[in-house]
Amino acid sequence: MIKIAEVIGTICITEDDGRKLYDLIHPLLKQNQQVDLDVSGGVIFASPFLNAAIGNLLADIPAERLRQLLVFHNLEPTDHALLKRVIDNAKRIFADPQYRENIKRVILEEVG
Amino acid sequence: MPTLHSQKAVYQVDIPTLYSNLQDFRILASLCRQILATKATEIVVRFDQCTFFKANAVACISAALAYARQQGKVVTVDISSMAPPVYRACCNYKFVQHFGGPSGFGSQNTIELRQFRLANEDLVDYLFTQVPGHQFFPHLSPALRRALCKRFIEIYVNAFTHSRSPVGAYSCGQGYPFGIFPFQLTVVDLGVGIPAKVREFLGQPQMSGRQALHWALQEGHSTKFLPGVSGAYGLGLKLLSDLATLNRGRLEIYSHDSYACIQQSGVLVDNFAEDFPGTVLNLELRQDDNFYYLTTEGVVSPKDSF
Repeated sequence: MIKIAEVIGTICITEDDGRKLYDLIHPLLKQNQQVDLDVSGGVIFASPFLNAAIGNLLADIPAERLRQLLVFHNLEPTDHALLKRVIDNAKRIFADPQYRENIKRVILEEVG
Repeated sequence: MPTLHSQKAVYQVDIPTLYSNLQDFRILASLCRQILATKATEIVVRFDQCTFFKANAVACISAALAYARQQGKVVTVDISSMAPPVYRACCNYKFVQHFGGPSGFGSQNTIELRQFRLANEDLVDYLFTQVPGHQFFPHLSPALRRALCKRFIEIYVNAFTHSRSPVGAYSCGQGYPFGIFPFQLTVVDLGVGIPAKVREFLGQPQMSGRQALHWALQEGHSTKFLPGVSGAYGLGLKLLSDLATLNRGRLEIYSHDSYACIQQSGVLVDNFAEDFPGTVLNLELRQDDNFYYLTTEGVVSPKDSF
């Protein structure tokens, strides 16, 4: 069980923190291991954190597999909906070739 | 139009009465631009012509003055020029205190002026103590008030994530007894603005402010990306839009040469000729609302999310 309040803290707002959680759970999920996320302890979420931590998982892990492997515990009811919005958003983004092209182009420009 | 007098090293800013309409916001944008542009070493802010100073104006002027102060200029708010109601309001917002004046009275109806540079505990504490602690939204249960405060965080995230603002985010708000007028929360940054980020991201420098902001308001559209990791972004503005429209409120965005007003009756996106030197997010919500949106959206189970 990964307790988010312990590994990230209770303020889960930024994408940097989201990326930390992503880096922790992505390898486990890629190995088909179940990941239990405990969000008890007054954790506060915002969309940039969830986008980076959870939304980005959909880049290379199918939604159906995430549904089986990723289990949330003690999520506040109103956070369920935010999580769903993040996941729906990610599904749409990763299905949109134009968006992916834009991302690729900007990354190439940054790299030079 | 407001008058500004350059007196050698001292620049005098005369704040007029400012409400929340588009015309007044043009004046506000012009004032802020001029505060940022002045070469004077001292800025004196006077309120002789001001009979009403709303939270959105407080946040905008404060951000501009903070930038000037950051540049080494001396900023003086002349409280002797304030009519008693304006002085009271400025004290309640802690505007006077923020610029070196006496400390405020504090009020149950204001969310005080505060500067944030990071999305951290201070920001969460600010929202969770100021909003519910001041008896806004009396119809809400503690759980829903908490949910609402969490949604408010999205307003600030835009300023921290996208703007490269030299002053971070300035925030101020207002509620009214008996809910006669809507609750208002304003967040201001002095960053590059949404249109510039969109133009840069899409490689289309010729895009108008209206076109760029329209693009940014679509769900899933974002200029954020992570090198090496495909990016799932672009939800914050949509979440705020939904909060406003589904609760019969209003979200206004002024970002450099663009403007948007999002409410239940429709979405207006337009060019903003006056060019605000940053981004303003102004969220208005009815205080008598039961926020069925927050209530009903929470019925999804985590398993159903995927």
